[in-house]
Amino acid sequence: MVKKRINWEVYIIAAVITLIIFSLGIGLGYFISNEKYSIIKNDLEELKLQQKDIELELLLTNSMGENSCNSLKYEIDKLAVLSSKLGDRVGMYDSEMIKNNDFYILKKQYILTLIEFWSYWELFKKNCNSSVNTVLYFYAIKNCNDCQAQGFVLSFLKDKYPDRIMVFALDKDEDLYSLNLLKNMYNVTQAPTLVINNKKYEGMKDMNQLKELLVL
Amino acid sequence: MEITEIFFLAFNMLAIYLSMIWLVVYLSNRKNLFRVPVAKKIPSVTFLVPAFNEEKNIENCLNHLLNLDYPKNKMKIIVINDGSTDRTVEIVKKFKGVILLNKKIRGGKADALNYAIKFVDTDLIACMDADSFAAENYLKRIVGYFNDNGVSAITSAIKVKNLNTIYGKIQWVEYLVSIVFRKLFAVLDCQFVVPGAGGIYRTSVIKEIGGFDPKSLTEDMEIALRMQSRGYKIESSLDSYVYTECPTNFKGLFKQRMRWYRGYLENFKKYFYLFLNPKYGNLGMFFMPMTIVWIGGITIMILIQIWNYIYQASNSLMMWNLINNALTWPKISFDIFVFNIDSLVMSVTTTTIVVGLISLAIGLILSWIGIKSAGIEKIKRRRIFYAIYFIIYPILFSFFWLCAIIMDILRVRKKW
Repeated sequence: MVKKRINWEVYIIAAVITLIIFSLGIGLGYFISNEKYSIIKNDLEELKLQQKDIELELLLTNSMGENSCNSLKYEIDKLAVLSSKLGDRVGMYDSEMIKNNDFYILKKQYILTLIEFWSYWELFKKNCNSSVNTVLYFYAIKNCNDCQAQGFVLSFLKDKYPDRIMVFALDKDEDLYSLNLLKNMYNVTQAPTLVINNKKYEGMKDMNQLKELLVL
Repeated sequence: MEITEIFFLAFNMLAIYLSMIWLVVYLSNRKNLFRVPVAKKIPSVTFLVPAFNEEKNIENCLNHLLNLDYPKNKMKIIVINDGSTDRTVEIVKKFKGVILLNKKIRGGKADALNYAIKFVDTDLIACMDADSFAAENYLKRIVGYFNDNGVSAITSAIKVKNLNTIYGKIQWVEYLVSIVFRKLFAVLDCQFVVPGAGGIYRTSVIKEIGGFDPKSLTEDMEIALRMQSRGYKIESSLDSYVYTECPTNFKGLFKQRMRWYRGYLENFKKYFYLFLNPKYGNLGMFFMPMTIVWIGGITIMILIQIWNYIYQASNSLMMWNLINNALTWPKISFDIFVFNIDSLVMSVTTTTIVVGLISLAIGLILSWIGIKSAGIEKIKRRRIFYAIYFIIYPILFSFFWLCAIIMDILRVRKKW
């Protein structure tokens, strides 16, 4: 029997081309992912800037005793839109396979900014007698089966009553002093936990339950 | 990173690798592929046409055979009536110069062919399914490959003749793509099937290896692997066209594919000793193992997809229930973050999508090369067929494979 030939050269060339294409693909994926990272970074800078602006405004209003609730409300609404958009993006980027090494810092910065925002928000509510509902939503990425559904219901309600609800979604597993302080304040141990107008509710809440807890 | 995502990436890498192998083979042999060898000495040929209730097609088939551009004294036609109960015999008897062999009891295609081989005294045997017909220059273009004494068989270039249904259109593209792939298989000497529509054999080899295996589900694959295992070479012709009828409905297609793919599995088991045996060249070392890995990969992919859909559907229902079944529309935004589709079971991230798109593009290029090589004039008008093929075929193909594997595991009775 004639021994048959094996075309090793074909397999090797094909393997080399495949590796090149594959690494190009991974490289392109990395490039796009990096692009997302810089978008998030820019958004965060903008958010911080606007927040600083509101902080000063609040300070000035307090010291001068002037009532500027209407203009404050307008700016806070704008900030809330920016913040929730950024929150979505941070969440999406978090599930990427290849992440920028500095992302964890960015995420912490975002959470800090959000907590800061929350504190101004509380101040604004008190000063301006606002009746908008505040929802602190503590979620977790790992070991939380209900978090996705809870997030879905919250964003549905937020879309339905944009002027009545303000949601602050916080990853409870991040290690930050201010976050830990907040968690201790409301004694948060599990996810999902909702703090609605300063009252803590543990576990998943569906739309009907939420509608009863919120003042709509 | 989830396990499904790792699997998805690995699967795509395999797909790119396999595509690259064939692309390298194609590009490095581009010129030789289309060269048609001229026969040094015109060989004599006997056509074997097994027929079971073929009253609709046999006349067309025989007319085309009699019309072939080939010396008439070098050509014989034998119709083997495999126990037909319709007018087949009556029609065949009208043809002068066609030999009719009557088998009273139906014994299947391989049996019919073996019965006729005993009477063959020509250099070559050409098989022709009764529902197919050959182009006028079919023989002239194919016999030249037998100049090489090591060649035992040649595959023809099969096209689909009935395009009126969507299944016909998909198979039309599939068959076109197969033509060039069969040629590439031949270049690496790992041809594993000689389809019965126009497959042509060296009579001495067929007699030496003992004819077709009547027990096999796919006797055309079994004989090809048997020839390979004895060291023979199987060539392929790109332009000896044979037009065949394909199944036109799902049931027919399903039945046909179950026979083919289960035949595949059956023969791979039978010729398992070829696996990773360097004696059998590319076929043993690369083609058969890769095919198994590929089919395994496709099956796992489709299982993941099915699971994914079930999970997604139940999850969506659950979520929908949470908001009191209110109607909502998915929010669509057009920035690069849309790239990030979190589909729960398989969290598809940017890298995965990029790699998936690349392998899709390579697949498109490869099958486009296949179609272009088949020399179709109406290709522009039929681009839509290609689109349909590309969307539906992978799903259909992997579904059939999954069914074939399940049927094999459950040992469902094999039937013709």
